[in-house]
Amino acid sequence: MANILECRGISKSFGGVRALNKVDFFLRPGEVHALVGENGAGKSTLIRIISGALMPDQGEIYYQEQKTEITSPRLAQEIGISAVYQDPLVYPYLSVVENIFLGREIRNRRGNINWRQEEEKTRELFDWLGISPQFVHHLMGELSVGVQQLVLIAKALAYDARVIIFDEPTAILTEHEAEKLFEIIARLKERGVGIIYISHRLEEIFQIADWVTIMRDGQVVGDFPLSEVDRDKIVKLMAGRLLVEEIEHAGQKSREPVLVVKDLTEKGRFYQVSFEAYQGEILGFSGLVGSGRTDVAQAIFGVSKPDSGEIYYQGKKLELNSSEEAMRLGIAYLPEDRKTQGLFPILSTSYNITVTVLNRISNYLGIIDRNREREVAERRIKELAIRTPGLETQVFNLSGGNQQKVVLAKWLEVNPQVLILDEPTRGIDVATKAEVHRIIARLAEEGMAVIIISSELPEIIKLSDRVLVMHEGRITGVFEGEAITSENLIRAATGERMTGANFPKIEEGLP
Amino acid sequence: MKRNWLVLVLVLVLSLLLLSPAFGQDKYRIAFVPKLVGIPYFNAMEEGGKKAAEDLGVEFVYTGPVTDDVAKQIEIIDNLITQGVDAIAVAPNDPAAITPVLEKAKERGIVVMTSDTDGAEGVRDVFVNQALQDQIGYTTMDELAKAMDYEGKFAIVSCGPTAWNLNTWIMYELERLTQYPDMELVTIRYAYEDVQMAINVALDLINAFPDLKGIIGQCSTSAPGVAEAVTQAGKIGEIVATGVSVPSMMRPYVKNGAVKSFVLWNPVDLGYLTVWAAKYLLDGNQFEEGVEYEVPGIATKPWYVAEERMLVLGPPMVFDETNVDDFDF
Amino acid sequence: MNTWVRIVRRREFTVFILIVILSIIFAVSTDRFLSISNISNLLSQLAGVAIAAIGMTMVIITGGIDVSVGSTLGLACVVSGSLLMIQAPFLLVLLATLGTGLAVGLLNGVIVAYGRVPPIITTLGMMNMVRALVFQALGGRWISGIPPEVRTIGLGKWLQIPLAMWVAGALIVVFSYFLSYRPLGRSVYAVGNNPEAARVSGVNLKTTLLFVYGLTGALAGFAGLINVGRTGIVQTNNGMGFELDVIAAVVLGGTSILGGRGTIVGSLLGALLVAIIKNGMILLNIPALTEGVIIGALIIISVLIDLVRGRGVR
Repeated sequence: MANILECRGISKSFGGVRALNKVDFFLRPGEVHALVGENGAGKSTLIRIISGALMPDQGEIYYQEQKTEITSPRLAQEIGISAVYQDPLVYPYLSVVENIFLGREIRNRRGNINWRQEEEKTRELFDWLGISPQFVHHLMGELSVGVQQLVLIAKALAYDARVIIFDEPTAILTEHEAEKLFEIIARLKERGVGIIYISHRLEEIFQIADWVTIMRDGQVVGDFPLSEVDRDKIVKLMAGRLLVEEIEHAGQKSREPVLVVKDLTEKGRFYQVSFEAYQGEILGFSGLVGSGRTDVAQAIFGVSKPDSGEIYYQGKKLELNSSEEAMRLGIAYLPEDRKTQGLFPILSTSYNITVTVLNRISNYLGIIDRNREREVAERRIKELAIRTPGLETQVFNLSGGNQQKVVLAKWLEVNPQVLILDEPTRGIDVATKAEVHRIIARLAEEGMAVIIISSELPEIIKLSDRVLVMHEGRITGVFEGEAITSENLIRAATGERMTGANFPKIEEGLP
Repeated sequence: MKRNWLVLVLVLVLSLLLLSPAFGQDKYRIAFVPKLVGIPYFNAMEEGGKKAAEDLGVEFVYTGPVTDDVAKQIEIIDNLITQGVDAIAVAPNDPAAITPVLEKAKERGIVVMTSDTDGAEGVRDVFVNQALQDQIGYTTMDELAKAMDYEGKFAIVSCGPTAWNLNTWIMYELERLTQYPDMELVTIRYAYEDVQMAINVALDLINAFPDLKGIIGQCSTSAPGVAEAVTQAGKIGEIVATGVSVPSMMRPYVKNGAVKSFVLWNPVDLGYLTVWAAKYLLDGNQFEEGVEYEVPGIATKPWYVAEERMLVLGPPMVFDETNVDDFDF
Repeated sequence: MNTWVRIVRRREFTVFILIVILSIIFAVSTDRFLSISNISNLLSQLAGVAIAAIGMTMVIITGGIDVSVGSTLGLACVVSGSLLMIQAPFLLVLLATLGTGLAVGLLNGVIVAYGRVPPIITTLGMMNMVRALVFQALGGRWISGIPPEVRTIGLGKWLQIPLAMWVAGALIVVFSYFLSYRPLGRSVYAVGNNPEAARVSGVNLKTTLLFVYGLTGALAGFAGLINVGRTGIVQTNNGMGFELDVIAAVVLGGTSILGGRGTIVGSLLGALLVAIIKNGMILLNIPALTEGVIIGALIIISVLIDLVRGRGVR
């Protein structure tokens, strides 16, 4: 049967950085076509082009054998290409029916909305999808994310979609919900709908996909029927030969660990996590977003309370009730989302740097000593090479990288023994990124225990002395030295259990 | 920094424009700041002030806030001081809050007066009083009593609950009420400066007290409001409205019988007297106790109360169907 | 969840219950409360706020606000008052008044939709400009003594119920239907729920904003006509503070000040609650100065009740 969607020679650049390079992609009706690749491989750029959110710089798209310019998400929907994102775009205060038919109302002769018919149609779709009809009258915001996703599938069907794109659909679903989704995908297939399925979970792909396209660095590096590949081959293609220049640091690993975590469990988030962190060492936390890395870090920092397990810090058992306590003891955590958790964007640079040490810069009356505040801020600005027009500059005026340095400065000011960095270089430019990396290496050199959480493999590989990989809340691999390779990390991150922490033996051909 | 220069130049030019009338001026410039502009009562005062300015050969400046806001008044007076006027008369929205700015004016050698409503008693040179407060209260109560045939229940609808002069009038009305033992005040309500609200309140009152015989509309907006309510409720003849307001607003209700009579002074004359008094002081004269002054251009003979440094326009005026058509404010 | 539970859980229901409770208290305390003349008074006091609240509800649902309705009402009073004074035909008066309000509203809409100026700033500016225009137009002289014969819209009654309230009721029905059954009505909610998503789904943001602000202006104008009809007087400060009454009614009626949800019927109930309190205070002769305390407390209490009941959507 003819291809329902053909992308030929698609290229797209963002400010000089090539995100897609002459990509070809073919989708047949009734096919589940998996699209895999590491972060930044170009998957999301490709699907944003297909779903009309972006226009390609070069290349052509043929839809149902017609050359088509997909200029907007609206147009894409109208011609039958719908996307279901992991973070569904919904109207929380509108009903399910309204969400499905917004912008495309069923009308009667006078142009009024025909609620009854919309409801009937919704019931029909729900029936077909096996969703309980009781949800028809709910507000969208009252539904769980899983059901919201199903509603969006119903919406796609209401548009008579021929192509449905799923972007990491199972990332936020429970196992049961995911099974349900796979059933629905199977039935969509029967209807002849072409499905593009993006997922990091290789086992899912082997369960439902017919074809797989593997991307790396903006290019297609493999395109096979699923019967012709195995897990190993996919991983190898994804990893490629990742060129990483190592950063060496002369940190002396302490004899005794400063932090020991034993069998830490927080139900629904992570299970039986055990590891040690040493001073003078950089410990990498790898794994997919949502694999529990951040949750573990937050538990250590006292943000959440684990259900069982123990944490020892400097030899003593740690029982934290708040993150302030952790800070006082010398544990610092630099959160992932600096906008909402790390910075006061409309306040000055010096305020942001000194906010964690107000006691220290205040006099005995508790009044802030402006001179001391300036001294502290100026020292850090120089040390970290923060590029700011002045101490009084509001932080939101700084570039992303410099904002990140400000957050770093603020935490360094409390002189932590353990510094946890969550995605420290997300969204910052290459040059600043390198600077941040050098700063991190120096901190380890100075004897800090650094834990770095990152979704970027090169970053982890470059910086870490030891890497711990998590998958669905469990540690699936620990690697050190030569064993820190992208291939190993990908394997562990996609759920292969790597045995023998320091000398991993690679198990072949898991399904 | 080019733009800053531009802004500076603009500001300078604008201030010069504002100040320019102050240069080469030989006529006295006398300013009156009403509680708010845009209501007929103060328009009438403005009219009188203008007439006096023509007659006396002075310049009259009429400027005030659009709501009865004392902060705005202070700002306006501050501007007048900067412009260098010779006399400032004000009807203060807050008798105490106005004091500092009037002190400042006085320090600059400006003649400072209050008119219509008193305030800053320690500072101002003279208070031009439309009528003695007690007389307004007494007259209003007398007019109501007469219209109600000296018996029955009545209510008062005032404007703002903090208006000092309205509260003083009400106080004197209650004092006078003791002379009418068969009359009973059932409630005092506030409708602010809003006719529609006065109508609403009065209609509710008529409902709440089925045996109501009279309503006083204490201020210039509530008086026509209560009269309109009496009309709308179809109670003309059963309930009588009166109060303190201007003829232009009350005329229809005098004609339809909802109002038999109401009380005021002549605000045109008050405006005239204010400007006249300012000129009189600027010319270096002093007022003297008990003297009745001949002011050409107004109907009454004002007199001076030295103890309170107060120039009184005259007794309050009662309007009814015989004279309501004679006035244009 | 069955239909009844859904209704009971709505904010409108809380307000409705409060109205019923207060009505019972007032009715037991004084036999005047349920008298025909009192109900008729109550409704004529309600009409103006209820009409303007229709538009305001929509504006607030889109996530905006319009504080210029009081000034717009004032300007509409000037226009309609002047025309009524010269006994112009009613149709002309009506069109001129609605047109005046519509013009102000559309101007708000254009500035918000095309200029992307935040609604609170746009309408605050408009509030001051239009008020200044009212002063200019009246030149300080009030219009008074508009003859009762041309004031039917404010004074007239049919079946003991004020004409203005009939009109308000009809408008509420029409626009409630509109919000539920017209695509444009649905996009009003969409814009307030998730403007970004709305744009992507092809909702015309600009048309929607123009419509809600234009409508609010026109309805504020109509409320002005009713005001003149009732009072027969045009003052320069007509409608000052009106915007607060309207916004209070809308918010009390369950429309989220952050946008996205709310109903016109809720706003009507909100307006009714405030009107009943004011009315009851006078009937029971509760001292005037406690009125503000009681209204303020009830607003807070009604929201608290909602929070305590922990209603569904966050």
